[in-house]
Amino acid sequence: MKKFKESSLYLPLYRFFQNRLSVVGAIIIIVVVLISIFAPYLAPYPEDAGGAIHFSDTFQPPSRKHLLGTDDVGRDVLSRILIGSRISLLLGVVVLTIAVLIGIPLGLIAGYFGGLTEKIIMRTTDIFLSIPPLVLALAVSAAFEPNLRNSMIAIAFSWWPWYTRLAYGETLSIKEEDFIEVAESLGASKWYIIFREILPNMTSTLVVKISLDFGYAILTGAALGFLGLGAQPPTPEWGTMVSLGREYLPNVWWISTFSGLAIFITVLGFNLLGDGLRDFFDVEVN
Amino acid sequence: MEKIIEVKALSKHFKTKKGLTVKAVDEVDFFLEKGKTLAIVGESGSGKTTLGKTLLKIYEPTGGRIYFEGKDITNYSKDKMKELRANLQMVFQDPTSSLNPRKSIGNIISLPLKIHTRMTKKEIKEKVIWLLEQVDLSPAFYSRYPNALSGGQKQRVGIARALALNPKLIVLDEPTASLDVSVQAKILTLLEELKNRFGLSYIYITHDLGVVRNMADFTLVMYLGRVMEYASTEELFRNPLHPYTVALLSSIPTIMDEEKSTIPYEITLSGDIPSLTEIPDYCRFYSRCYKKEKECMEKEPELREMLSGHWVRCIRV
Repeated sequence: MKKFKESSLYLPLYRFFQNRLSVVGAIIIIVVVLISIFAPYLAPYPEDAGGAIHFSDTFQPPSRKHLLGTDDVGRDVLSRILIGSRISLLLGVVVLTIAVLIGIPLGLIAGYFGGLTEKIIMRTTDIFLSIPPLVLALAVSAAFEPNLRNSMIAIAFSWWPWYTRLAYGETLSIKEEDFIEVAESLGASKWYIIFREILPNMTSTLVVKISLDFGYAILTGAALGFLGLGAQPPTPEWGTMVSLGREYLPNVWWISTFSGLAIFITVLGFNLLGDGLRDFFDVEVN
Repeated sequence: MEKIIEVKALSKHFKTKKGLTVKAVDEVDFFLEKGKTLAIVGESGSGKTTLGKTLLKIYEPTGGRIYFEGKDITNYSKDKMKELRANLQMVFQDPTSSLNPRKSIGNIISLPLKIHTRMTKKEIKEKVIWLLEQVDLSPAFYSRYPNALSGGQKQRVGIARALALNPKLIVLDEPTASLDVSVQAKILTLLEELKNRFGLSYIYITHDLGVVRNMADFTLVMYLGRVMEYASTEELFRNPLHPYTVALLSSIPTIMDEEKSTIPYEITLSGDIPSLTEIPDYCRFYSRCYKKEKECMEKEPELREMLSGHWVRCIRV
C-alpha cells in the first residue's frame, strides 16, 4: 500500500475519488455495462425484447409479476429496458468510433500540415458545424430508410467535425513544442510525428470528450427513435419506447416514464463520469 | 587548425503576416575550430537562438553559406541533411518542451538511434543505458517519464539524446537558463567533461556572460541579428571594445576585480532591445548607446578587425 501511495497514479486517483459525483457516474456506467452484457439472463421475459405478443397481459401496471408493467401488446417493460441498454451502448460506441476515426486524423492533418490542406478540411468542418447535429441527423435519416443502422450513420455523420476541431486545436499547440522540432530535425517521418509524437499528447482530452459525448450520442439516438427516424418497433430502443408509450399517457404512465428514466440515468452517468475525468486529467474540453 | 564549422554572411529573414521582413540573423560570419567552444551572447531577441537553429539547418537560411568540415552544406536537401544530422545536434533551452511528456526516457533517447542506425532493439537499449551513464543518470531512468524528473535530470536526458549519434558539434541553446543556480553548475561541469571525453565542439548560446568566461574559447556578441564584437573570450573580457559588450560585462555580478578595471563605470542600458522590424539604417545600437555621437547616425558601421582576431562593429573605438 505504501508503494502505491508513492506511485504517480495515487494523486490523480485520489482526486477522482474525492469527487463523489464522478464516482456515482462511474458506478452508473459500470452497472449499465454489466446489465447490457448479462441482459438476457437478468430479464425476466427475454423473449419480450422482440415482437412477442401476449394479448391477455396488455397494459398491466407495475406488479410483482411485471415490476415495471407491460406495454400495448403485453410485453414486460423491464425486460425491454434491460435488453434495450445494449442498443443504446452499441449506438454510442459505433457513433463515437466513426466520429473519432474520421475526425481525429483529419484534425491532426489539418493542424500539422497547414496551408491549403488545413483550409479545405477546416472549412468543410465549419459547414458541418453550422448545421445543428439533430437537424443534420434528421435529414440523413429521412433521406434513407429509417432504422437503427442508418440512425447511427446519421449521428456519426454530424458528430465527426467536433473531433476534427478538437484534434486541430490540440495539434496547433502541441506542434509548437520543441520535441516536434527535435523529431523533425532527426528526420522522423511526418506520419511518425503526427501519430506517435502529437496524438499521444491529446489522449486525455480525447477520453474526457468521448465520455461526455457518449451520453449526448445516446440522447440523440433516442431523439431519433422518438421521432420515428431511428430504430423501429419492435426493437426495444428506449427513445422508440418513450414515443410508443406517449400514445397511452397519462393513464398508462409506466411505459414512457421508465424508458425515459433509463435514458436519463445513463446519460447522467456519462456526464458525471466525464466531468470527473475532466478534473482527473485537468484538461479543458470546449 | 581544422575548422569544424564556418558561416559566411549567414542570414535568416522571416516575413511577417503584414509583409514586414524580420532580419533575425543578418550577415553573420564566424568559424569554430574543432574541439573548441564558441559562445554566442546577447539579450533575448538578439537572434542567437535563430542563428543556432539556422546553422544546423533546422531553419533554412535565407542568405549566406554554411560550411561543415569544409563542405558547403547550405543547399543540402532534407534527405542529405538527415545523413549529416548525426554530426550536428542541439540541446534545447527548455527541457520540459523538448521531451515528449507521453514517452518514456528510454523511448526519447532511442529515437535518433531508431531513425539513423540499424541497431537491434537490444543493442539500442544497451546504448541508451550507456548514454544515461554518460550523463550521470542511473539505468532506472530508462522506463520513467519526463514529468517524474527534475529540471536538471530532464536536461541531462536532452544531452544524452544529443549524444546518441556520436555528434561532432552540439549547439547548446541556453542549456541552463531554466535551471536553479546549483544545478546549473553541475550541468556545465558535465558538459565540459563530455566535451573532453568525446572530443566535441560546442556552440554555446547564452545571455549570461558570467558562464561564458569559464566555458568558451571564443565569444561572439550579437545585437539585433548582427555581430557586434568577436574575439577570444580572454581578449574580450580583458579588453572589451564595443559599448554594448562593456555594458553586458558590467552587468555580471561576479565579475573579477582585474576585469572590472576595464570597465570605466557601472553601465545600465536604458530601455529594452528595439523591435527587429524597426532597425535603423545607421548603427543599430544607437538608441541605447552611452557613447553615441552624431556621426554614428550616418551609416551602419562595418565589422572591423581592430586587433588581431578581435573584431568590432563600432566607429567610436
